[in-house]
Amino acid sequence: VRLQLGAGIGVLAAAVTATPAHADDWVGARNDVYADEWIVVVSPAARGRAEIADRVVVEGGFALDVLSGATPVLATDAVTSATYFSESRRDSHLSITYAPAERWDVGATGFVSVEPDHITASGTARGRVEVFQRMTTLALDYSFLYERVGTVHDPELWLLTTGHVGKFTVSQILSKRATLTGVVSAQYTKCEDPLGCQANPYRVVPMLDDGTIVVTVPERHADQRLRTAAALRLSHHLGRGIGVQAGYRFYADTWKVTGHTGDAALVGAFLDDSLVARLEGRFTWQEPASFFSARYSIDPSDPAVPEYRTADRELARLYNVLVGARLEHAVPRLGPVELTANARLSRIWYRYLNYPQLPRRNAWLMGVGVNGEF
Amino acid sequence: LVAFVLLIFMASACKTVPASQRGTLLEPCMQPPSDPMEIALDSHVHESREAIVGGTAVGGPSCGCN
Repeated sequence: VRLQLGAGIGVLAAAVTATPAHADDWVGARNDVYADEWIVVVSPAARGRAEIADRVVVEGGFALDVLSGATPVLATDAVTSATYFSESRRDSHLSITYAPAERWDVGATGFVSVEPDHITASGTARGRVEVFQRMTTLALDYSFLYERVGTVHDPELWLLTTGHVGKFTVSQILSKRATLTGVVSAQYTKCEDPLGCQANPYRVVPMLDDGTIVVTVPERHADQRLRTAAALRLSHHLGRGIGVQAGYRFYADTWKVTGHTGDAALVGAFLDDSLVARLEGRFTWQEPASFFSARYSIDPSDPAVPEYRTADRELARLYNVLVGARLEHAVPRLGPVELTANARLSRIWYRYLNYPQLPRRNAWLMGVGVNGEF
Repeated sequence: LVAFVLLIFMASACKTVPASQRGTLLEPCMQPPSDPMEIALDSHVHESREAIVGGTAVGGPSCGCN
């Protein structure tokens, strides 16, 4: 099982969050649990940030995913059994930010993620500048990805994947009450694996003849992929400590996957801002990869298997809906430390529209955290 | 990309908000979740269940107050 399916951009992006060079020192720890019908993932994490010299801030963190559960074994139309497993992934990052002036800063981040059959390492460089009377913030990030992918069946086999990720962000103050942020990103990956850029090297595609599985063949994807996304995010203050935030993202890649993601949150601050409540929702619609099929039929007149084939349901036509709530409370000051505690609970419904074998997955996502500023 | 270049030019035409009037933008209700570990985990969860990645906005505009 590969836990870091998307380690390329998202986890990395969050790991390399630009840190203001004038920020307070900060430490935090949290634990989240993801649970659905098949798996449970427990994810403890810790981070810290400190100004180690004038205008130089260092940030580091560690996170762990402990996954246990069952992988469903699929027959033609039904879940027939399950294979139980337990696995873990560890990631850590170290980031440094230097701000020679108030209006611009530069930084770099190293990130590594390890699990038994998958290692990801990346290096990121970034820059940020404020222009137009500091009404506009421009940021540019570039990351190089390096991945080694193995299988438990062959300890000698470690294949190489490399990638480049670029992201350009424009953030604009629209008025005293509104801000707008736009992002464009692109990720190019090249995979040495003769089976292409797979998310899971163990997966096979059943070939059917008149509804009966006659053979299974390994999945095979293209060995290159260019993934692009563009997003807009608006935050608007409604007054009395209440704000609304909304975002939209469009995604397209060279495997013909396209997607639309919308999200919105209503955020309120109460009790002199010591209690912040957040109600949020998120919706994603995804069109499938051009070579996706939940089942492949053998044509007796042409028994060759398709060049690219996948039954990976994450490449299927799908949608998912998230509804959640989050509370953050500033607890009484503890000496020089300003403590905040937070808790969240979300419900996620996943629906796979052209994957009849396992068309739905319903999940809970819950977590608690505590942060201290000095 | 063209849209973004246009956005920058449109942004430059916005009426300047004096730094002294940007306090509202710093209020908690205008901020993303404050815990970066939570943001990282959310990205990981979503990307493990769909093929869509990228476009993630981290942070927002500076208030330009300091």
